Amino acid sequence: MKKFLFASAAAGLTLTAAAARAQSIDYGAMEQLFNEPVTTSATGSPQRATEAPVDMTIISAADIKRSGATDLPTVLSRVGGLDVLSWGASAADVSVHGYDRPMTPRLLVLINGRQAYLDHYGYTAWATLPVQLSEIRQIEVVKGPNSALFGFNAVGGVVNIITFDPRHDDANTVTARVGTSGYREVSLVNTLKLGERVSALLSVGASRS
Amino acid sequence: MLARKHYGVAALLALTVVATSFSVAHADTAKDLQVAGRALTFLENGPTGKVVLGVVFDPSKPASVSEKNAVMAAIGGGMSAGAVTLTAKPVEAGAVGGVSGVDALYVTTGVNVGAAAKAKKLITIGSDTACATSGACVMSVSADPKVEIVVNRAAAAAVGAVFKAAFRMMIREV
Repeated sequence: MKKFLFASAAAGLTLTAAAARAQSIDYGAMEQLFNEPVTTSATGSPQRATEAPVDMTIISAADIKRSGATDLPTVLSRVGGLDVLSWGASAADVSVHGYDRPMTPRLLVLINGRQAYLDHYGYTAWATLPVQLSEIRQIEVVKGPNSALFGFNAVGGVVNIITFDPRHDDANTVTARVGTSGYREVSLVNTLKLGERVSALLSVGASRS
Repeated sequence: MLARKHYGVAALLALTVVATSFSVAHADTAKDLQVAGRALTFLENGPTGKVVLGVVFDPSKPASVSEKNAVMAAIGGGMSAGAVTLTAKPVEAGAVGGVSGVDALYVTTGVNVGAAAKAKKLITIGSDTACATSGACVMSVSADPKVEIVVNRAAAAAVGAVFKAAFRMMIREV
């Protein structure tokens, strides 16, 4: 039997200086203060989840950890109102409230408020998004149009992936997984504070199945 | 014999009710203080580490004294709240003008030390919303049933307190 192999590797080192991130609120401190998740995906301003004027779900880091999922489409497939259409190894299309199809242009995917949806190809390459699951603080899923704020891609909804911020968070994780069909995964996420003004997030990972 | 048993049960129930209401009040005070301590970290150039909270009370008002006692008990030897550790120091309302060694004032209900605190450039925090809306306090905090924070712009400006923009977007300013 011919064995299909898929390997992916991602490595990143993000150096963060003042105002270098698109969304720079201290999610952890806000969450602890208000005792609930906070979001910036509803109106562009920081808001408490219970006060956001849109239909949205916030997937926390704990939810991701508990899910046992190894990729983002699987995490999203467990959110009510989202449809995930898998069409290849680690390749999928995600839509909100139905009408899913390959290469769907109707869902805007952001990482820390910056666009990860590929305009020139017209889809989101989930397998190559430069984030490890263990570096995600929360995923904010807006279920419904939010084009007035984010533009044409947000006609179906918005998925904003928020990663740990090395300026405020202390996230140091090593993950190793094995699974059926030869699945292997290893990843490392490390936050570093290099003085008052400079901090870094080191993220390295590879998987194979 | 039966009547004596009934008295015993009634006394036990009464004690239970008193103990429960005291622990609930104590828990609520602790939650309010947690919110107050964490809110202070959203000040521009806000405090980190140990923060001494002056607990302002009026000895002639039993409710104020009771709240002061609850605050002191909740903080105890130190309460960790985010990036700060709160410690408390009781301050009589009449002594606010000469107070020293405190970073902020926690004003018990029914006490107004707005003018004296402004003169000392000290941030005042109350658990009663009316304290902030009236301008007697810079900020009011309450944790139950939902965290509510009200900041009085004029009172904050008077003591030179500037809160971070993201924080201001998530609270009520009057």
